[in-house]
Amino acid sequence: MKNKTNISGKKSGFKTPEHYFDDLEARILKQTSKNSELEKIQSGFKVPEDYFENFSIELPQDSDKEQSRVIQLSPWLKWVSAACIIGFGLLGTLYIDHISQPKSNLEFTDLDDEMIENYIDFNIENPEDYIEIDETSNFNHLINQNIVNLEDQDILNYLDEHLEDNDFNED
Amino acid sequence: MKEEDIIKNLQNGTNKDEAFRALISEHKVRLYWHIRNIVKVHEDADDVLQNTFLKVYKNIDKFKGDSKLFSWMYRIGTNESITFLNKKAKKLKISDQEFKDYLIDSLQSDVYFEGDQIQIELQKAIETLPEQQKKVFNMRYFEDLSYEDMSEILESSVGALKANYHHARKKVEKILKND
Repeated sequence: MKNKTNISGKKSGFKTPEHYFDDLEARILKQTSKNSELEKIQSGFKVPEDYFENFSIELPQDSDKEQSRVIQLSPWLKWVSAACIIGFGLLGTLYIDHISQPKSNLEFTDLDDEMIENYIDFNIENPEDYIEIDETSNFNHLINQNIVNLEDQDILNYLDEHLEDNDFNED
Repeated sequence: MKEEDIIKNLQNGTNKDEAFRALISEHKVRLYWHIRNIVKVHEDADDVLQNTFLKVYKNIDKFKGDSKLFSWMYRIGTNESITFLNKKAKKLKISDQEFKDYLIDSLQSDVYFEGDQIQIELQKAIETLPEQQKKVFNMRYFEDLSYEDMSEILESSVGALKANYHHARKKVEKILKND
């Protein structure tokens, strides 16, 4: 197969490795069938060598169990405890009453994104019906985004540094 | 040993140690990575994993078989991890944001983290997510759990989890784009 020049037959100076097109199809198919797991950004976490092989747990012995003590409340302490419980109950009721008052002049724009998300996620029966869910992205394209942002001068510098004069010569 | 036998042996006390060993052997790797994704640092993940298995051992009688055993264990692992992080933050006496920064800094000095800059940025982005979205993102993105399994573990509907993941992914993508 002719693989040295552009398909139009004009010499551009670009060339491909030998037999590049011969196994291109096979290589592309291999790439597409790769497990998507490998294409994701990995977490970067690792574990010490043989960690899982050596993992063990010391089980608690029955004798380790502590005996719990029962403390008797004195009569006056009972009354103080009851008064406290009633007091907290009253305060709680007043607080709930206070926060449940509707806020006046609340506009949609007053809601922050998180409130709206929470509403969608937890109060609508099938939230996925209302949002366009796309799980194909794995963020890898973001790693290469700096290539798009290259300045013209950077590209010229690259060409100066990486192209040899003989790349432009006629065969 | 089959899972039903493991549960039965653990609950009625016959061959309890052997059954527990089989349980650890079966679930230690997946459970470790689930915990590690939450607490980030290996030593902390190791502590929480030990506590999680001990809690499973002590509370196996309370497992009624309403969900899969692994979902029940994941739920314990998730709660243990969050309790661990809350205790750690309290001990350090720092704000929520400072604690998130602290977790990322710990990661950068962790000998068991071999990520490059993009992985650090990804972890930073994950730390900005609300708690539920963070859990869902880790479970879906790194652990490849199905929404049905996540639904059992997090006791939330599949639809809500899909929406959580969608919002989490959008936020992470936006942060990575802007960095």
